[in-house]
Amino acid sequence: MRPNIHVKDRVAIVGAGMTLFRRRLLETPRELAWEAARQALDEAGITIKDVDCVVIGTAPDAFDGLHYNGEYLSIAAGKPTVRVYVGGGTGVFVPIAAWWHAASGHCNTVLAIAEEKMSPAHPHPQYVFAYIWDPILERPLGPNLIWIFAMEMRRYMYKCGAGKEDIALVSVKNKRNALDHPAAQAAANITVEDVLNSELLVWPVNRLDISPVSDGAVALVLAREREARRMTDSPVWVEGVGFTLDNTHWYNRELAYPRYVQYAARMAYKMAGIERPWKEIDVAEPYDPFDYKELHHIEGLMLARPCEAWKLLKEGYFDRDGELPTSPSGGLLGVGNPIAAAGLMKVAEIFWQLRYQAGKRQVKKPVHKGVAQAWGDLMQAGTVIVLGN
Amino acid sequence: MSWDKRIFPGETLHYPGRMEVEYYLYTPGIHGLEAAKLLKEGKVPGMRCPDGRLFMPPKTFCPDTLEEAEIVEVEGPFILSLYTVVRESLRGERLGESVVLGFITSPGVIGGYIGVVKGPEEKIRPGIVVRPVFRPEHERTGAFTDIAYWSVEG
Amino acid sequence: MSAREPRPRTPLPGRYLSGREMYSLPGLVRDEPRVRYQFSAGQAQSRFLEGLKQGKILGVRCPKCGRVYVPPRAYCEYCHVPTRDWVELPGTGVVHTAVVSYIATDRRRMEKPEIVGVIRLDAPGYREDSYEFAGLFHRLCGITPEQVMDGSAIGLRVKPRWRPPEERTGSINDIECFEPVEG
Repeated sequence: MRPNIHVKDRVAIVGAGMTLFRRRLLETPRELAWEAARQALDEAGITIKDVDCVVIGTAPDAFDGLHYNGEYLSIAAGKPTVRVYVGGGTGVFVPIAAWWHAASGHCNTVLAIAEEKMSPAHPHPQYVFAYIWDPILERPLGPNLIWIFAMEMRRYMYKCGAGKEDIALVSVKNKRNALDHPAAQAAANITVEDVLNSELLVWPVNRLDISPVSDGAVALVLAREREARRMTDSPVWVEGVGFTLDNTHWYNRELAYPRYVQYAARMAYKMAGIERPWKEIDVAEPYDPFDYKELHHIEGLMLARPCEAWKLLKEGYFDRDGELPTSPSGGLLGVGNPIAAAGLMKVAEIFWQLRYQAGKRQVKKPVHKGVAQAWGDLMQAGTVIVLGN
Repeated sequence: MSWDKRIFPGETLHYPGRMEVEYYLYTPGIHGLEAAKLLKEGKVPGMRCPDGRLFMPPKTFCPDTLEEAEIVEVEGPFILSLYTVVRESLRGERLGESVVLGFITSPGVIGGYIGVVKGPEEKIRPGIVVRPVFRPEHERTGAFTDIAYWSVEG
Repeated sequence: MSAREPRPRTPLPGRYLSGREMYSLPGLVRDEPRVRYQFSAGQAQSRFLEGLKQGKILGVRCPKCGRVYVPPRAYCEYCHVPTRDWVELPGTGVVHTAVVSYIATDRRRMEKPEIVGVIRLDAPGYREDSYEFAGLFHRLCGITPEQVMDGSAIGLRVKPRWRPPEERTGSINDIECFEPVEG
């Protein structure tokens, strides 16, 4: 498929690496970034000296407890470095920014790192989410972050006729997929009953509908075409990038459909020359901090028609051996949710899938095009990347 | 198209807010644990890179190569390279006794420690030798604050 | 390096700790942030909040596209012109979504569950949009958890229940909650 816009140079991902995702890790944030970076550099067969530029992504400083989080993580002394941040969308925004660096001809090889350490915040990292609300119009009502997801889930259920047991299948699928992921924190063999019987937090959200709090880091190495072909014989090309930011007035919008994801997806598909994503995409990693969110985002990515995703899920359409596998890694629900690193974990998964290196997680069908997407902030940010081999 | 604009501070409403997080706990990291051991023994930690360079304080990996470093003791001598005299607290209150903050290095070691320097005022100048004074053993926690201050010789 | 070797390669870096292990680490440092903020309501929101004090829900209209914004913005997001015409909304609306919360802001379990939701407000004269609307996020009362769960709460007509005038301070809490319209 010919790409639809002119870029100076094709850019490929040539290596990826990550740390374990766990509730508490001993490493300092910088050590996490270093560990993930070394894994990625080793896989690409280069050292830090060969890297020209660095892109760092880390979400709210208030988790790590360091206000200069991007600069603190800077591990490549003196190299051009930039930090990007769009909440949870950061994970997919990092490779997008890395792509800019390379595609513009500015840098030959780019190291992209996403890191998050949520465990320093006490009494509980949940408290940090209290900031996300508008201090004047929303915080006085004493909201908990889960309320906003519950409201969206309720609206989706109402508009699309889905029940809690239908949506819980996402949690079952992802946690089971994660059993084959070495970094997974919350992998498990659970049933729909387990989800429905778990602690009820804000109806309709139960505890097992939510991804865990985690520490972790992921890194990628990207390179321009000529470099990439020297480094590996199976580069994975960045074919499309898209990103969007909607406003913070989430209660002025129809909550059953994420238009910000659709805008970002259109941008990425246009660049990749994809006209019918539901046919042309072979494997997808939509962002799944909550189980219904995966369905929401599948529809935003135009991989299913609005309100159809939950029906296809029941038929096994999105399983690893289905027509369009989603979250074969196990997603955030199964592997873990260090806010910024989670999205990059999804990109790394598509990278490994397209190289047929995902081991037991490898999807049954042949794969040529994959999409990874992340979401962030107050129902605002959509970031999408399309990869191809 | 005009719009009514408020220009006096009293015309817009203000709402107080605060940080929700009560406290942070920072882990020392994988090499911080080894540095903590040295600090508890009353030794000044540094790091040695595979190419032989010594750094102070230890930061897990070597800056240019990302190689893992070894945590070692820096024996000294320690030199006061730079210093400044602080007379006001963080909130702008005059301090009863001024505090001398110094940057302490060691020959052959890259980097240095920042710490409080104590000693007779007339002796404090750049280039003098200082000695680390640790907290009493039972008070040490393995954090860098186990070095209570740097004392001027003599 | 075998091309078919599974990724990510194990063993993965990362040393995990239990809660107890973390709290007894040598070299652990504790720090308390002591920051306080004064948030300014700004131009448009101040006017909105003053309206709440007077028992009115105000919205503002964009002179170019006709969108009515609640809560008000000082400029239209789509046209980028300053909004100008203030309108008083009747206050009634329709429940767009509702949920039952059993946890408070700090994750504590609450005695009585709280019902909150998004209310799509009636905005006469506003060119209707299927995706965007003038709305508010607030508590809902006079609705049972069962109504939320079976879906009958969504689509219900509601109106604001105001606090008595002497208790209003110019805050979103001047509205106690939204309750169903009788009849």
